[in-house]
Amino acid sequence: MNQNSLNGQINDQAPVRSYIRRFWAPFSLGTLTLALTNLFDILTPFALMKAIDAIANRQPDSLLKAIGLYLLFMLGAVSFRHQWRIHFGRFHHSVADDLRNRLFRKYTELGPRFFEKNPTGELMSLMINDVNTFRMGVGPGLLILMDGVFLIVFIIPFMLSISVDWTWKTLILLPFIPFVIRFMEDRIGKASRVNQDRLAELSGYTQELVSGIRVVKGFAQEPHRQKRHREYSNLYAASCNLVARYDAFFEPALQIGVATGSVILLAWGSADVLSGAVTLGTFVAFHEYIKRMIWPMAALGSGLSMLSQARSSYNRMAEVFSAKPEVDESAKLAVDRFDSLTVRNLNYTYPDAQMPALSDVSFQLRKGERVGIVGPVGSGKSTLIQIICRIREAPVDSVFVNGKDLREYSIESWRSHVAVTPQEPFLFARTIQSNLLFGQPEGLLTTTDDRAIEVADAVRIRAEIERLPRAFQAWLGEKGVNLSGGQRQRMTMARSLSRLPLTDAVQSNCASPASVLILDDSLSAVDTATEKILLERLEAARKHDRQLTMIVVSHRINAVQESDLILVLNNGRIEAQGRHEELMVQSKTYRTLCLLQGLEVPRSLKPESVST
Amino acid sequence: MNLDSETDSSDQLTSKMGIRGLLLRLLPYFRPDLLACLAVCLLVLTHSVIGRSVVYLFGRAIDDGIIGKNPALLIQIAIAYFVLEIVLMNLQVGISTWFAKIGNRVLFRLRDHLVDHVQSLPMAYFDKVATGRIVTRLTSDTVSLTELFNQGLLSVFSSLVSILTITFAMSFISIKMTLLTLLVAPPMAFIAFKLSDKILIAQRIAKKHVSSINAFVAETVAGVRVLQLFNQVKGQREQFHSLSGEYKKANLRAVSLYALFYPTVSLFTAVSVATALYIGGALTFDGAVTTGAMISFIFHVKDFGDPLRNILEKYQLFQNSISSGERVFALLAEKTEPEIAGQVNLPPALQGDIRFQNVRFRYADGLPWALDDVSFCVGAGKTLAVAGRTGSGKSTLIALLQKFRDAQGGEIYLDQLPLSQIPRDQIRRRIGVVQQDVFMFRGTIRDNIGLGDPSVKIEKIEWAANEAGLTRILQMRPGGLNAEVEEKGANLSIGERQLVAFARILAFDPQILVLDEATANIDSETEHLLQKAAARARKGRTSVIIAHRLSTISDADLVLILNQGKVEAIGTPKEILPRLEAKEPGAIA
Repeated sequence: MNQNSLNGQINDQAPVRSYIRRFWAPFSLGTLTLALTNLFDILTPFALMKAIDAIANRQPDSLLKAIGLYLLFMLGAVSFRHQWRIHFGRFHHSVADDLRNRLFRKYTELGPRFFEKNPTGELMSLMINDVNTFRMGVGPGLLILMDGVFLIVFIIPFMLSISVDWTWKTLILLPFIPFVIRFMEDRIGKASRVNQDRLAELSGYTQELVSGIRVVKGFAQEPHRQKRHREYSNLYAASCNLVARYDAFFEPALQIGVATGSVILLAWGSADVLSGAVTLGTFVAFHEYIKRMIWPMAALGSGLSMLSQARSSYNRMAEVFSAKPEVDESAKLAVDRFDSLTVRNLNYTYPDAQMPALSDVSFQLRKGERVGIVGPVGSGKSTLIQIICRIREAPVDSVFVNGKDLREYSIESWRSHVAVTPQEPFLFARTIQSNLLFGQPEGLLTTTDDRAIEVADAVRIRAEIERLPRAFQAWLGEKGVNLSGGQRQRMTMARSLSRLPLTDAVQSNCASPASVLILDDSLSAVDTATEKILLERLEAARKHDRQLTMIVVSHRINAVQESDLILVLNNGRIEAQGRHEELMVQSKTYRTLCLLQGLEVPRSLKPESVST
Repeated sequence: MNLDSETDSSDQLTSKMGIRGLLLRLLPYFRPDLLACLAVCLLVLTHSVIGRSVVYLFGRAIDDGIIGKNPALLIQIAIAYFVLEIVLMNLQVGISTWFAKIGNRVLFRLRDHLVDHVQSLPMAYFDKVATGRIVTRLTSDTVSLTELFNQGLLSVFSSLVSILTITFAMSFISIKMTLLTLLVAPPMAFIAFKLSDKILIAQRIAKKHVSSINAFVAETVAGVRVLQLFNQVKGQREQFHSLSGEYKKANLRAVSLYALFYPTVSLFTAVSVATALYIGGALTFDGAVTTGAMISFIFHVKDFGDPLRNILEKYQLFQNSISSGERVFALLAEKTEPEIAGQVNLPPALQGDIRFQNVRFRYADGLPWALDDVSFCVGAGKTLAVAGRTGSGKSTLIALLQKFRDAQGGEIYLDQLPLSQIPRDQIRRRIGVVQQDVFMFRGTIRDNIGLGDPSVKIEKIEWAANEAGLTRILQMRPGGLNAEVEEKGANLSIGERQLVAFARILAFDPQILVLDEATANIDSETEHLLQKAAARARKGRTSVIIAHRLSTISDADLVLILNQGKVEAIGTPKEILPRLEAKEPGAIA
């Protein structure tokens, strides 16, 4: 896997050269066999010349020799052609494989800032389309370029040796061909980009028609949608026609290049044959060489254009390669146990934002305590959690674990102490058991682990899982079971619980027991009653041994009411902090939240009117 | 979920329909352009014949010009040659553009028909088949058919014509020589076809690797935070490394097969040219064939290779298109929503009185009844709250009301008119539904309210947005009502999307409102706005609400509790609420 150290880094400024250096063996073999193929290929008209001369001069013996020579040259060309395809294939597919792995490494290394800027669709397209365009450039593109150059280098001497005069007369138009090809490829390229855009529009419209069919049918919109679809479909057809129009000129333009050469040869060259200066066979062979000069000219044009496309694809990838992770991963200090988390005057502003997302946030949390965080949407709750988990990096000297700046610890080691249930209930397309015990060694895949059952029990989802066809071994995702939002949230919750030493069974099997549980608004889709039961269980576990530390973010006051400390966030600031009873008196925002959620608020504290 | 009945034929490596079957199915779409098609075919034939005469001229130039020592004739031939080449060039441009035009028209008709067909499929089809799969039929499968037209059909047809004219031109020189030369063609073609099949399979396998890489990357990007938080990045990278390596291996397999393909064709040319030289040499020595004819014969033989290779190459493309075609036509064979037999029209001024009379429904024979003997009635302008656990039949009730499904027993009445006798679109216009998760189309928020229906005027949309409380919260973002909605409404919260749906109701002004209350991820402020919008939308309409909140239930005129498809309780909130609260918590959601 680690070829970097063996063959040097890939230089993003000169990727083609770097990759040739890294995979030099298949590349040089490919180039060598390609050159040999070309050599044999252009020797065949020579054999043909001999044969025709033999026929014209009625020499059966030389004819047989010439045929033998022809077959020999053809066989040589055939076998080397087979070889270069294989070597070149190995070269450019290795390049693609390497690029894919480099991209993937980056995708898994980078933080939210990167993913906010680059939508999934674009990242996928990089991985498949741009890698492929680059591969096509350094593979077939470079190859036909070399093919063209080799052929020119080999053919011109042959032609010159036959007749200098014929050569310049017949080839006079050829140098224009690469320009014509480039010009037409640009046109075709532009037209096909328009075509691709129109196709994307049409496909997008059709896709929505199907995904939104309930709305379309529900509002009886079928005729209008049909009409709009027809418009998109028509536009697409028109652009297809345009591409076809440009495409249609391509081959005839090349053909006319050959034809002009042949005509010139017939008109001027035949006189030399008539005078006896040149044999008939030579005349025919020369005609063959003219024909063969066309492809190299076309190859120069399209090879260059493929390489330039490869270049721009690589530049897009290079942006990803050069992206820096948001958090500094160099620190190596291990967190051996969790004692306290201190946040002191924490300020955080998103890169392009005007307003800080968090300003002057300070609080402290000791082992075994529970802190609740409430506040309206956009108040900074999730940012705070992301900073604590080091998804985003806090400024120096603002977040401390066990009295030391969090940035001094190794990320991996800190994360092994934290079990997070993120806001988005994301599950992987694996079995339920793999999801529940995510990141922990699993036993045999077919037997259900006690730990999986236990955590499923804890979040009250066990019965629902057992009703599924393959229970804990049921596969999630597109090809399997789809869970409801509430079920997914309970699953993600169970997933983080499986890393806590809640009971003896889990404790003894847990690979890396965590001691801080963070619930980032992760019970929003669970009904209030279930939420209550879940929290009560966790609370019991926490009280039981005073080892478990909890951070609970929620919209619902119910979920945080009984915390040791509640933070009320508003516009990135801590508006108030304290216990429930204290906040009832101190914080207007908190009281309003309580009122809106139908909680008891002492009459004396009720505001005049609740308006939001 | 019904995956087995609709196995994706892309999973199969060979197909049943065949190119003839596909073309026969496509024939109706060709019919309006049949004349143009014939004209193009004729042009192809002309092109091919002229192409051969150019070679013939070259032979004549050698025989009569060079060997016959006639310089004047050589100049004449050179001019004729040039003129013919110009004609050929024009013909080829004409043929390609014309044919592309015909092809694009055919595909336009096909797409139009497909969309029309898909829009009239019953809801049951969409519930059964994954959306992605239907979309693939409509998009990439039709694109694959486009490729068949633009790159395949014409070029294969002209290649076939070329092969025929070349063979004819060759036999014109010497039948014996032709037969002997082309002796190797059938076995070579056979080998190449076999090879083609193998290449095709290798390519399909490689394609499968692409989709697994795609799926893996998509999942990784979506779940990257979880991977990082759970320290699982390293394992994921290793998995990807092996996925990518397998893809590379599959590609190399295709490459090594491909590497055999071209040499096979070259070998054919080598053997046939050598044979021609040998036999032709002997014939020329006997004087049976002139030197010029012999040389043009060699040119003909060499020209044979290109069309042959082209056909073999396109053969692979055809295979892919055939499987796409199979899937497209399978979709077109799906049954559409049946027309209503006895038509009863809804009056323009509908009261909005709903009555269910012993309604029964189940999703398939053998399954338990999803609704079993359900009867109730809601007076015009009243609100019915429906509650029950997941799977109790709430959604089915809505589907029956919208006529997405048809009752299998009993009858539903709208203003005393039987639903089974009323055309679907009439009913759907009168019933506005606000779903839990509101689907958003691309375009502006305005477009999403009016849905692009020309009968919904701009002023009406603005009024509706205002009434729903949408205008006010949209003031905070640039563009307001004209703000672009991202794919699937990603830039709007669930609450905001529901507000859009409420505005839609007000803009379309149906007499009946169906509301599935949102449960997830709604903060208290938006919640408040939604309640207000719901109250506004209920005003003057008969409302059926799938309730998740006690407050909604206590606000209703009538409460219906469903349990496993049966009516468990029905009555006023006062009668029902105490019973609900006595039961275990969670019974409502």
